[in-house]
Amino acid sequence: MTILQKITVPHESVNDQYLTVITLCFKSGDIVKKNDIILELETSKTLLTVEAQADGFISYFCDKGDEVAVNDLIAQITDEPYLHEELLVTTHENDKKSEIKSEKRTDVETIFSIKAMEIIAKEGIKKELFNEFDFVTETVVLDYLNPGRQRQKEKNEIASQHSPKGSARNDIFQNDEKISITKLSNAKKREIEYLSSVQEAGLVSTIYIDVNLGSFFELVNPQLEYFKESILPVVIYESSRLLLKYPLLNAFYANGEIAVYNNVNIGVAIDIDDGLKVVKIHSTNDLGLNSIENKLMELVEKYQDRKLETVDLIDVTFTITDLSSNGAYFFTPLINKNNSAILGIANSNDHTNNVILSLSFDHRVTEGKVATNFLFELKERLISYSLHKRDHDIRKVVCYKCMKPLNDDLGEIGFIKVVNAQGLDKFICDTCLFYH
Amino acid sequence: MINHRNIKEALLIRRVEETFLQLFSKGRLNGTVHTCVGQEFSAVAFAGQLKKSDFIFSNHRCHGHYLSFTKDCYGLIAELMGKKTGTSGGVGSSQHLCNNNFFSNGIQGGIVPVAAGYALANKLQKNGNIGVVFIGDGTLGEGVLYETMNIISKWDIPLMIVCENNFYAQSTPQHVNLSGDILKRAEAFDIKTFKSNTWDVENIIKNAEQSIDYVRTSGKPCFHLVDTYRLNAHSKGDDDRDAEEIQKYRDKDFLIQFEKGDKETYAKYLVQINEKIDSVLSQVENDTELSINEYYSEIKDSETSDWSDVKYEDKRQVDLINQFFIDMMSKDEKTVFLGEDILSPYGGAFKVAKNLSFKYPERVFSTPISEGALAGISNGLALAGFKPYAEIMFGDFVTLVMDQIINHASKFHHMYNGKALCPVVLRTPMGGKRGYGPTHSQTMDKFLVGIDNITTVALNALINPIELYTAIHSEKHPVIVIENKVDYGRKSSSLRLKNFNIQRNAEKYPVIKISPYSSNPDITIVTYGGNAAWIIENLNKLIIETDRIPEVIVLTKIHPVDYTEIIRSVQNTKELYFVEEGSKYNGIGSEVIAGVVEKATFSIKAKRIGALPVPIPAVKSLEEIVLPGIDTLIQAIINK
Ligand SMILES: Cc1ncc(C[n+]2csc(CCOP(=O)(O)OP(=O)(O)O)c2C)c(N)n1
Repeated sequence: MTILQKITVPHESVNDQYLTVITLCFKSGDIVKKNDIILELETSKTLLTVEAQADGFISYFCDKGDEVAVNDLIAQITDEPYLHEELLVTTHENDKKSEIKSEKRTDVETIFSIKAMEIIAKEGIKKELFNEFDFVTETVVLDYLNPGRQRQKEKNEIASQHSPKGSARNDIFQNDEKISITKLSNAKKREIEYLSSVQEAGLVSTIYIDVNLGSFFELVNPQLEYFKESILPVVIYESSRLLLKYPLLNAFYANGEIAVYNNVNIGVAIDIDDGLKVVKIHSTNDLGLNSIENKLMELVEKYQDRKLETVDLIDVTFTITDLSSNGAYFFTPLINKNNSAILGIANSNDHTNNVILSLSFDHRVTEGKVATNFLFELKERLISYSLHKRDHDIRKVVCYKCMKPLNDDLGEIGFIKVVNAQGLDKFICDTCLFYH
Repeated sequence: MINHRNIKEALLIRRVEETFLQLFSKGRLNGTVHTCVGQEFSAVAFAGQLKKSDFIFSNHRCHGHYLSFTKDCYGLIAELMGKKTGTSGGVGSSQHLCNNNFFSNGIQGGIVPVAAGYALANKLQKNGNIGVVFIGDGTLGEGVLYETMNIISKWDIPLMIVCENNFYAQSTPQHVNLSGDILKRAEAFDIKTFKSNTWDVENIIKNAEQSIDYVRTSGKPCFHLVDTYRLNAHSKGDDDRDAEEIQKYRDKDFLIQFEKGDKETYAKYLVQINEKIDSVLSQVENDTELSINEYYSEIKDSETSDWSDVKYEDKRQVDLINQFFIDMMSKDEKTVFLGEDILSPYGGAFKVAKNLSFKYPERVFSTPISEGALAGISNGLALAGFKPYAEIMFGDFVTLVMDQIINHASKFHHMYNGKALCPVVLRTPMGGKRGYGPTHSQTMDKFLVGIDNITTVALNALINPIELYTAIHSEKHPVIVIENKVDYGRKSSSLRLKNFNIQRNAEKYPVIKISPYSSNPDITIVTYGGNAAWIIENLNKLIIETDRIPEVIVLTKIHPVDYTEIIRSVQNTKELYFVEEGSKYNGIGSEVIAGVVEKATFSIKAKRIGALPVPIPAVKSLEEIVLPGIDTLIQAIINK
């Protein structure tokens, strides 16, 4: 037998030490022809296809979904068919251990720990999958469910030896019923790996957006009791609703997993002479604007009286920091512990009726597109308050006969609302109505 | 008529001791000296009239006995001056001398059973040799003396106890601490008595000769009381006795009287003796002292050794141990078995000695309930070149033999600068889980480790005890063997595991490694002895409930511990649980964990699992809670 081609994992980019096997186009033992695509790999950026360079028999040493390391031998083409099993024993990383054991025993039974059985039951996995094992613990099952976990764990261990941050996980997961866990995708993990090497401390980006408030306050002030001329209560109100649509901003990253909060508890950063505190408005999305305002007021008073209790400060799922009244016009908010995002409010520098909203988010949990969409939607909602004052945007009110916009109308009457022949509500200018 | 050789010998003893006192006051002697000035003729009469092949055990006041018996003036002076050329290399000094069949030790009473054992060795060899053990009258307060008197009388052991009655024990006059009659004590044991004093020299020499002959010809013990008086302090300067009383005895002292009566001869002898002492002193001056490397060498951990599968036996442990003794007593005539209630058909509380006394009646000794004497006699047998196996009926009773273990067996070899070997083996069944209650269930292992020069081996149900005892049999130094009461009935063949490899290394006292068949273990459990069996039997349960996969290391030698394998395992798991049946405070686990931490180059988590610190209750439900079991271990792992 001659090996015609050895397929190893290419080193496409310095950032990708691990790639994911997306597709195996054949089965081991199949005949492949030169230029056939034999497998597809996913990198952090793209999909990579690997082509056969010769006619022959293909043998794969990886499975679909495997995370494979750069330079690993993952397939080969030979001039004769080869027994796949044999190849596995000598080349598959996981089987190295069994080579060391001199005598192969046949009476080994698989014993499952209680914890392992719980996960197996919950995830609906087949026990038979672990027939090769002597003992199956929680770790074994989790490693099966998430093959990258082991490497990630080792990395975290190394990282935690260098920085004290690595110990967050245990206290985070103590309150399991408050969160639900989503697995990180392989691509996400690569992204983390990629960004980690650049800025180990945190993988944070911030997006800014300018909002013209127009006559926002004219409408909102009468509804507010304490925070007149403040955009904050409305921002809290609207964000809490929006977060239900953007759960990844109401979440946090923990040890290779994303924990998404089931509740929205918005935290508001306050710093009035007595140090920065983030106070929590519990179940914010269930509260009306006035309840939010009242709750906020109560917390501010507690803050000033130094009467804040632990319950006022814990379990914040998303944070808002408002520096607009401090005269700040541009800043980058920093994400709090166990959050994936923070919203900042600042003035714009041109002393117009504009504010700048900034959203910092954790790249390990979400991405720029999501954050941008969130901000845009928030902006739309804020603007809608000022639009409420006029029934219609005058730029959009057009005479249905001459197509003149209301904006350009110099007359005193304005346009007249009519019902057209099709029964639709339309506008008509006085010229068209009276002179044509 | 008094032989002048005896007078010269007594004068030599006196001059050597006076020289010691002078050297001491000049700061040239380290430590203490007890002189026998005034008592010399006791030494001359007994030690001087024994044969070279006889033996002497002496106490703190031993210089005279030594000089009379060995005539080794140089070795004594060099010893007290701390020189390598001293008879014990300078290690022993005044109270710890050894030269051929001469031994002294500073523990009052402790040497008496050792001497009995040495005499028993003579008896077993039928060589006609006898021995003398010297005690002071103050030592009549020690219990082990009476244990031994009972035994030497019962067993007809050719040993003479010479009690040098100088009417004081250190500072305490006899009327304060002695009741009754001295000789009647011996008579109560049916031991023939003799009585002499050091002032009638002719008489003591004649009497000593008679008593020596009696012991030699009858093969029985005797007790010889010698009234005497020390003219100097107990050691140095600690003398509160009445000066008049002392003067009275000075006036009676033979050498002082001799000087007065025959100044010329005395002066001639004195010059000869002084010259001899001076010449020894001037030579000893230049001798060197022992270096630490000559005295002590560190015990090293094993290199990595070969591993092989444990061999399973389909026989009960107790039967294998019994088989070892049956075989070994036939193979090696120096093998002696001693213990309480060990005669067949009973064969000992746990039947280890079954049929042994039927087969070898002359080398199986059922002792009275006298653990101290039992251990001391075994020590003496061992010093005399025998291989004694002393059985302590229950592990709890080892408290009664601690003096023999620590002050005798442990020390002999080093304190006599390597001149003596004491290959005694002390075996005892240990542990609870049989409902025997507080004084018959405790695990005393922690008191039996860390004793210098003593190897402590704990049998377990995985290694054939014949292999271990064969190794123990060839040891030159003392070994304590802890057997487990529950394991006696176990067969190793019942401990096979499907999912683990059970391997042992090639060391003399093998380390056993129980590793998961293919998984990488995430915790290390280290244990020994009887715990091995119940841990092995419950390993699957442990994994199921704790979600942790253990590697178990079973030590067969718990002192000194071989750390190589423990370190290897813990380096991988970083988590160590030590399981022992004794209470964990200051226990074997404390020691092993400390040892691992000292040797490891990485940090570990560790936990000790042991009995609760209360006497072991007999009631089953409580005993199960107090002693560690699989549930204790599982909880410890879960709550780590
Ligand atoms: C077991 C023990 N207890 C106490 C001592 C301390 N000690 C040394 S000598 C001595 C007095 C011994 O008196 P005795 O046996 O009459 O001998 P003597 O000193 O009179 O020769 C004592 C109490 C000791 N060495 N050993």
